[in-house]
Order: sequence, then structure tokens, then C-alpha cells
Amino acid sequence: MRINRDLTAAFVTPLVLALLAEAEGYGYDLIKRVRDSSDGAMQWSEGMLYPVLHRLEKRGLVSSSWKTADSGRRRRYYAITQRGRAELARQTEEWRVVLRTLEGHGIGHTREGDHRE
Amino acid sequence: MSSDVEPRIAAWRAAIQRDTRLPAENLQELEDHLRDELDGLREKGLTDDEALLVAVKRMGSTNDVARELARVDADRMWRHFFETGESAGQPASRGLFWVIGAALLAAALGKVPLLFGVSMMDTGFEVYLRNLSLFVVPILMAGYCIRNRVPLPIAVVLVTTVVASALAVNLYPFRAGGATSFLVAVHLPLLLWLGFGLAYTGEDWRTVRAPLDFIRFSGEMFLYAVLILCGGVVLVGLVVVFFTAVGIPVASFAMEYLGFSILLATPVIAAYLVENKRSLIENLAPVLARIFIPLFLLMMVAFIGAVAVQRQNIMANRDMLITIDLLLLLVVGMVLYDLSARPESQGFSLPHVLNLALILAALVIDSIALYGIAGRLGEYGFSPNKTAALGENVLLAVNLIGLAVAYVRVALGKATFARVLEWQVRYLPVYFVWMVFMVFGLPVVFRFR
Repeated sequence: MRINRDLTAAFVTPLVLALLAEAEGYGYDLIKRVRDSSDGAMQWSEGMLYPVLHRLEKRGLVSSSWKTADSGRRRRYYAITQRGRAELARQTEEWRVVLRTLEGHGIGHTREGDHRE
Repeated sequence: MSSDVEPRIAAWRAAIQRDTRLPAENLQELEDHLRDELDGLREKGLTDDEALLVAVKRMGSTNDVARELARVDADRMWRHFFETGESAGQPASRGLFWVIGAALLAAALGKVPLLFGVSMMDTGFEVYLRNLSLFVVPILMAGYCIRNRVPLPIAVVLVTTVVASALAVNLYPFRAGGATSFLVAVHLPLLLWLGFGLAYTGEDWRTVRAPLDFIRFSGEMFLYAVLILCGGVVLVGLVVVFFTAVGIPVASFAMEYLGFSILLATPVIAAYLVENKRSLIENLAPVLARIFIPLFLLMMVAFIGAVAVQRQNIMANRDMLITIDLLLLLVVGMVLYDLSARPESQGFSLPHVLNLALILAALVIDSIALYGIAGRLGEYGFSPNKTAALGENVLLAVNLIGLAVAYVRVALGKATFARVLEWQVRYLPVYFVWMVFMVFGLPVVFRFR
């Protein structure tokens, strides 16, 4: 199944920050990493991702630099900044609350038996 | 990468750049993405052709991406001015550095007449007036020539135009306070501006899109310039008030140095703002055009009515001649602006009817003016002012008739709006030729009266 746009918009920032906290990356690479880790459920479009990256850069949460890749092509790599890490920690706290609440109401459980009124 | 794919990627990139004017950095990023996508598809066994087809299709929303990115950039606008130290802002701040340099150069050029002992007071004023556009437009030309890497023939034309006009306006023995001196002062900026258009469009000057782009650019630049000059007037005013209050009379200094420098620097700054912060004004300009088209239409119809009742020859003085030409030019500009900002798909609707009405009203006023000029020519013969007025009103009449005919053809379903724009663009060189005559020929014909 695919994740709808509104929902994606809600978590794209923390997820991008988390991905960049794992390792720096460029746009295409981030899209691939998310696709792989979600088993293909999350197909991000570049139309969504690049504006997000640029906005994050504008806010100083990530930084970008042009590097020459192994293929000899120049690529724009994004990396998380100190402020980005702080923001990620803050949003992680928020999401912990959100996830716990959702779970408390039976959303997010994967086992059949948890679905009860 | 296969040689077959490269030109198509280049064309794809050029198309986005044309549509969105995205900074090179962002374009490069999108292109990289396309190439990654291509590589991925090739690994899956697609041929180059298939891979490109799919990759471009996947990036099909590129226009949306680009628009989104442009919006991010626009939000960044004021930050660029303040946070120049940021690594991401480096290319922009280098651009800003050049712009400030160019603006200072324009202000410095404005002081060149002082080297020849010509000050702005009394008789020197006319010298400044005639040279005004020469202080700043050539700088803009040079900047765009470098940026667009214009081909040599165009560069030669531009340099010749600038040098020849500089020589003409300063070496022609104009009579002080004469009509030819004044007419040259009015027409040289227009000539140079058309020349600047050539630098702006580069080798694309034969296309329809590039000159049209320039017309829009001029309109947007004008709006920015007005905003900046408003600020400048306030600044100069405050300087005068404050320093006079403490007993230092600075009025003439403030005008001659501060105000004059701001005036000359304004076009450079305005051009930079349009180039880099376009989305801001781009949203404003069509709105202004739409507000003012109906208002101008009302004003013009009322004026035609007033002329019919009063039956006065409105062409009796020079200011009126200029005002009418300015009005007609404004009409052409507003119509073009409105048209170029509308989606092509829109059919012939009320806004277009308004535009057509505006053109027709302008034609009526132009006819009134021509009638008045003809009357005076019959009575007093040719003079510099009447020659200028006759030529310009004939040129504008042809222009307006052409627009009206093209509009009617669209209304009848015989042509598209693209034809209207094309007609206008094709007509621009005629103005250039006329301006050349006004600057170089007319003073000689009338012996610098």
C-alpha cells in the first residue's frame, strides 16, 4: 500500500533528518533509502523531497555541499547540522508521544488480537 | 553516457531553465537526479531511449518541482541580504558583490562630466540630462553581454551604438534650451534601452519568446525601480531636513550627489532584483495591470468625450505630445503584459474584450493627436517637436492597428494569442530605427535648434 501525501508531509522532516543523521546523502539516494527501508511502500517524489531539503537548509537544519562522486559526476550532498540534530531530538520526543497515543487506541499494532474496542 | 542522450538532457534542462529561471545550482541538482534515475533504469535493462523516456516522465512534475524550489528561494529573499556568510548563500553574495560594484560604477560615471568642468547647475544641467542614460544603461548592457556571452556581431552593434551616441550627444553643437537637445535627451534612453534588449536576449533576439521576456522584464524592473526611488526620495528628504535643522545646508549636495547617485544606481539594483527575486514582483505586476486596464479605459473614453465637446487642438504644446505618446506606449505595455501573463488555453473572454477596447480607445486618441499635428503642420510647417510627434504617433498608430487586427482575428477564431505577441515582437526593430534617427539624424536636419 502507498502512504498518502498528507501523512507523508507530517513525518517527512524527522525522517529526512534521521536519514541524514545515519549518513549524508543526495536526493536520489534518500528516495532510494526510504523506498528500501519501507519495502517499497514509500515512494517519495523529487517534487516533494527537494523543496523539503532546501527548506531545511534554509532553516539551518541541514547543510549542502557539492562533491564529486565515484562516477565522476558532481553531486549535491546533504548533511545534518548541529541544529538539525537538536531538532531531530525534539521531534523524536513528539513522535514518541504520538506513537504511544496511537498505539493506546489500537492504531499501529500489527497483531490481530490487539484490535479491540 | 551515450552521445545520443546528452543533447536531449541538455534540451530538457534548457526547457526548465526557460520556464522557471531556476538558479544554476538547483538546475544541476535536478539534472543529477535525472541522470541517477537514468542509470537506475539502464541497470534494469532498458535501452537509452526507453530509460530517458521513463526518467523524464517520472520527473514529469519537474515544473512543479521547479516552481516549489523557486518559492523556497523567494522566501529566502531577505535572508540573502543579511546572512551572506552562510555557505549556501555564497554564489548569491558574490552576485550581490558585482551588483553593488556596478551600482557604484553607475554613480561614479554620473560624475564624469565634472572632469570636464561641467557641473549640474545652470547650463550644465542639459548636458547631464542628455547623458543621463549613458551613465547607467551601458553598464547593464555590459553585464548581460558577459552573462549571455553574446556573439561578437551583437557586441559590436552595442558598442557602436553606445560610443556613437556618447559622441553625438556631447559633440553636436546643440543650442542651449533648444528643442533638439531636449528631444535627444528624451529619445536616447529609449534607443539605449532597445539596445539593452539586444544584450538581454543575446542571439535569441530573432525568436518571439526572448524579446517578449525582455518586455516583461522591463515592466517588472520599472516597478522595482519605482519602489526603490520612493525610498530614495524619502532618504534624500530626511537628509536635507535633519542637516538643515542643525544648521548645515545640504540641499544641493543631497540632490547632486546622494539623490543623483541613487537615481543612477536604481536601474542596476532593480535589474538584479528582477533577476533574482522575480517571483515577488511577478505576482504583483499582472495584478496591477488588471486593476489599471479598466481604469485607464474609463479615463481615455472620458478624455475622448471631453475633446469632442471642447474641440480644442490638444497638440498645442510639447508636454502634451509627450504625455500622449507615453499613454499610448503604456497601453501597448499593459496589453502585452496582461496577455503574456495569461494562460494560453484561455479563450477570448472579458479581459480580452477590455484589452481590445483599450487598444481602440488608444487608436482614437492617436487619431486625434495626428489630426492636431497635421493641422499645425499645415499652418506653421515642420519643427523638431512636430516631426518627432508625427513620427511617433504614426509608429504607435501602426502598432495599435496591428494589435487590434491581431486581436480581432483571435476573437474570430482565425489566430491564436501567440500571433498577437509575435506581431508585437516583430515590430520592435522599427522603433529602434526611429530612435536612431531621433538621436543622430533629427538634430542635424534641424541644425541643432
